[in-house]
Amino acid sequence: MIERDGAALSTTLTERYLHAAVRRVPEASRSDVAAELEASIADQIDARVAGGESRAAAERAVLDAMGDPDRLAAEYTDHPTHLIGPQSYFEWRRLLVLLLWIVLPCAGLGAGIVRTITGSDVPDVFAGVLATVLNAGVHLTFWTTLLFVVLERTTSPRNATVVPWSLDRLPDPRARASLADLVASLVVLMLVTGAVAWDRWIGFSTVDGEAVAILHPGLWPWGITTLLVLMVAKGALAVAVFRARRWTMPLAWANAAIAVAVAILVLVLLTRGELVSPEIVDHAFAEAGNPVVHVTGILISASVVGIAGWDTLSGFRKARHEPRGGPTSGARGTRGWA
Amino acid sequence: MTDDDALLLEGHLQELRRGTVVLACLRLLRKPGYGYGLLEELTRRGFSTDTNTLYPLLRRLEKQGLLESRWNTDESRPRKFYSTSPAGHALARALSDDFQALATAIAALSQEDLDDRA
Repeated sequence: MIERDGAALSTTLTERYLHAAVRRVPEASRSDVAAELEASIADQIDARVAGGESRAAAERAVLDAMGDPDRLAAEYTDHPTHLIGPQSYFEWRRLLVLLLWIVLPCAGLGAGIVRTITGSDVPDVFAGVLATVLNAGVHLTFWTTLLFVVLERTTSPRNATVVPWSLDRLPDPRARASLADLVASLVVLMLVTGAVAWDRWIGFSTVDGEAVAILHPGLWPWGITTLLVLMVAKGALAVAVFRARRWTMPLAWANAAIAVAVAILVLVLLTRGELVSPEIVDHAFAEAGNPVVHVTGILISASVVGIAGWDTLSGFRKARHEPRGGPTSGARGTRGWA
Repeated sequence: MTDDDALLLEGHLQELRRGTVVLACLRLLRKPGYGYGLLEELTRRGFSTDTNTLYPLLRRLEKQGLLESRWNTDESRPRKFYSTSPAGHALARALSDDFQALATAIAALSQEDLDDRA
């Protein structure tokens, strides 16, 4: 079969090989590369035929010796053939590990508390915690990685090796921390948005076998819109800090304003009973009575005030400690996620 | 020698030879040449390389301005001819000097090594 159809088969093989080898070469030089490779393959086949081989066998031998066309294509392409390269790999790993350590226990604990409050039995609580942790882990890993993949392709200097290295090009630990801070902020904001949407349309908790949103239905759409606006502001602030490469006093004030706004929003909604779905409250505290509801409310309020205060203070602290000039105060140690 | 040893040796040899193919190309292409002819010439002179490496390499060197190219369509089979550019000549000179210095340094090393063992 191969012997009889040798000629037809061999042209097909070469064409297929060329197609596979040049399909990822930039459009502008594709036909040029293909023509050059074609001539080279033909030359090599001629040499083997002159040595006494049949044309079909020679063709096979030549193409086989040239190896995997994908590898050849990778040699020709300018694009990185990795998702996350050595430049940002360690930063990616450090940040991801840190985020997983912080977020997964919180998510698991939160899911466990909610399920316990809503009166699920033990296996159900366990399954809920497991599902939440898995879900959060997958999302966290995916979005963090995706952000780094995008950064790898947009910010990495393609011609880094052409630029001479100098002491001035030493990476600034502050700038690196800011990049990690930025990614962390954006991932957390995305997760919160996702959680709010999940709560609305799928529901974290069940009451008597029926999915119930934790957040008060009356929050839609205006309460939630306000929350989203504040989160977008928080994200914009993270971008601004990253671009300025340091915290400044105006940025710290903006941070404080956002933190206070979030705290006020949550406190007002909480005191007016418009934050948490009444069904959840009724169900959770059905047998506990008013004092417990009262104490829980105070605890939540205290946490909200505490978080806002800590966030505000840390903004000002970073702004005050960041020097205006170069990395002269590097001895002050690592900040942020570093 | 086990397979692992052979792979290890192969990897290190590849690293050692990587730059020498560039140098050989820049010097051989003082006279214009095309891919397959160059491949044969390299093999004949003891610089073992394969198509998969050579063609992308030629293109990179051209992009870096070290080689110039033009298509020759006089013969029945059109071929892309490369020749070393002035910048390529300068680089080849610098690389050759460095290679000489390295060869001398390594030769001195082996002499000391032999002396120590004696």
